[in-house]
Amino acid sequence: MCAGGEGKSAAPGARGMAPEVSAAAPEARGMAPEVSAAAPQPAVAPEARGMAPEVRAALVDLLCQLADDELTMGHRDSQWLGLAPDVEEDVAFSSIAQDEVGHAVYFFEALRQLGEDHPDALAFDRPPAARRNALLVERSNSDWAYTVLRHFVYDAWDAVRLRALTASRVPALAQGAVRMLREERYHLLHMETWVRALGQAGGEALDRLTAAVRAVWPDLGDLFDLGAHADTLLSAGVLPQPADALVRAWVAEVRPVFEASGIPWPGLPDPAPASTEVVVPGGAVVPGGAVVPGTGVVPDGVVVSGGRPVVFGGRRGVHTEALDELLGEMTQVSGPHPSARW
Amino acid sequence: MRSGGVANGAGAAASRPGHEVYEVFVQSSALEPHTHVGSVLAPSAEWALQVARENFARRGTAVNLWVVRRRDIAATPADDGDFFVREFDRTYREVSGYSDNARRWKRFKARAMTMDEVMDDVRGG
Amino acid sequence: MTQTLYTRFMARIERGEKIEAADWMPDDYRQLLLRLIHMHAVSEIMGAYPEKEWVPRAPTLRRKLSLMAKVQDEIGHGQLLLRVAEDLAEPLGRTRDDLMRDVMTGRVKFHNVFHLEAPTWADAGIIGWLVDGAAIITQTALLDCSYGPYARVLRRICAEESFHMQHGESIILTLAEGTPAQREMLQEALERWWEALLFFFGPPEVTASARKMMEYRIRSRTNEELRQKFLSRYVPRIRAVGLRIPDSRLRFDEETGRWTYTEPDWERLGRMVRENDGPKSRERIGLRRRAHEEQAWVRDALVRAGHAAMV
Repeated sequence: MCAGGEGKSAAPGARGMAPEVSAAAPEARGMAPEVSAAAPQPAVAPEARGMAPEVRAALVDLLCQLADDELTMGHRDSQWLGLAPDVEEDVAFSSIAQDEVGHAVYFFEALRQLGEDHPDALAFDRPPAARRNALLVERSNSDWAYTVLRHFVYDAWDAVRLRALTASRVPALAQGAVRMLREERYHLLHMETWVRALGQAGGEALDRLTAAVRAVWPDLGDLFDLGAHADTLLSAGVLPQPADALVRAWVAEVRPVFEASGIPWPGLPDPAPASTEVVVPGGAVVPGGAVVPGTGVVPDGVVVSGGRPVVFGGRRGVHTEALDELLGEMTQVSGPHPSARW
Repeated sequence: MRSGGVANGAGAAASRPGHEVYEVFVQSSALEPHTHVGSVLAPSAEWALQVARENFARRGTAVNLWVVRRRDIAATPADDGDFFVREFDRTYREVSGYSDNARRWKRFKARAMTMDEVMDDVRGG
Repeated sequence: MTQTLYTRFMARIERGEKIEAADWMPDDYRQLLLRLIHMHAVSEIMGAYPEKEWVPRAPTLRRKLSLMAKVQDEIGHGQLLLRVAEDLAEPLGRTRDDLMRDVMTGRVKFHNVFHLEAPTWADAGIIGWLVDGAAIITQTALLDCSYGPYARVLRRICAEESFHMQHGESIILTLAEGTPAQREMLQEALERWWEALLFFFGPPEVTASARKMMEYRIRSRTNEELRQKFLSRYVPRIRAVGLRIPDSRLRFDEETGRWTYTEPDWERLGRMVRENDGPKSRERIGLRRRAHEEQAWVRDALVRAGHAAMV
């Protein structure tokens, strides 16, 4: 369970109630009513009623993937504040960052309605092993070429995923997806324009862009992973398209832009989810025990296949040191004062 | 009359090589005209539109944006008040020129109409 | 000829007309305005850095979003003001890149408050509440400026500052209602900022250039008048939330209707601005240099891409 950590399962069907949130974290954060008032109210609860436990678990996992992707991407984007190539771009880029965090809030609210923790607790208090974001979005920003290329391939994936979710049987996902797609259109357009411009400029810009492609590509398999519950998501109609269909749609989105930018199409990376190899961030092989360096925890995404432990990346809670560092900064204020409101 | 002298602008020279000043106009709803809100420095109209969206329409509503290269704008000189001067009586073309109608209607035991009234009546009914 | 132009210009000023960028204006009018607006623009941009440090560390989702929006506004104000400054600088052959480079060379100064450290979340609150509060007062006083482009931009800026005001108050109120540790954090932050806030309005004596700016109706109030307004508005509120102002001499004199206060160290704080030797001056100028120089290839690429698209 990504959201509540261990043993924090909530009774399905508890509409609008947050069962057993005695940990006081939600109230302690103090900002709950404002967040709720500002955020569109996701309507998950009716679906949760009578939802089979494995479907609920799959839904929670997917919501965490969506929320964590958007929060982490928005956080990385916000680090560009005051440092973008020009003041006009600084303002434009910051709006995109705010949109991403706003979308994360929507998904965290949806989790709360399923009986999971308060959005702030979910965003700030979960350890890396409980996070479901793709590795791609947690990587540090590097240069502007990496930033816009990473953003472009992520936004294209996000758009494809959201388009599929508009047909979800979970109303919160279907309704949220329709609204988010409208905002993501500008993100995609803006990033696409950047990629094209850097490619067409040639010279240093094209060199940097090419280097960015090399850096981004190994993370794609992880980005495309739909997590440990992918089969249930599909069969229950929560995410009514399989990963390979999404990947095809993603290629249709991304490849023409590469062609217009003068970047040779690198081909698709191996589909990581189907592999039986040990896959860990950074390329190091983790021996049988699968303890993740830097966290000291056994991620709950470890599954055994053919007698060998198979550890996947971000969607299974296995992250890089970049996420540790990001979270360390993010919780610097809230961390040492667990009972305080902010 | 000359070009390049837009209301809040100076000459037409680019403030950075390869870039130009684009004046930005936001339309807040379909029934409102486009309103000048400021300018951006951009390498092309496409970029100007993309950054203008967030630099000038990140709050409030907008349904349309224009960007216009400053050097394509012709404007009257801002310090030539005479261009707009109206020295002699033009109340014959304004409502205020007919304030006596109300008093005169009273003689006929009827009330003067106003445009607002008519609009409320016709559109509200 | 110039004499006639000057007389005509002054007649317009006295009639309360607004001067536009393409209009004839005396050199010193342009220079005074340019210096003021250039510094204002750069202060907005440099002012983003102390708060930017807190965006990744903001303790709730709501605070993260509002701080992002607030810092974005500051940069946006920098953009609006830069455009006004660029138009004034254009006849002098100076471009945006020159104006930005002036930050690195120290040719343009920025407000003292943005040279200081913001070591705790409460500092982010104090900046939002009191630094913005002080800036709102000085900016409001410029709304009637005789230069049209500046006056128009200020209207937009002041409208957005009304959100900043609420944002800052909200952080402060939450801390003031919070745990003893939070209130202590807030008190310490106030003590760090108080002297700088008084300095922010500038020295009490009316300098020659200040007098000239009043003559040109660029500004209409003295530094001291604005500082008094700040004290009248904020001292009661600071005290109301239970904070102690670190100035034993601070009091309102009923007879004169004025606040008396311990003078800030004009010399030390002035040097910080003049010589960029505040605790964070170098680091923040370094950030700006990074943004400007490390991203130069990106701006060049846009120009090259534009040419490539045209052929």
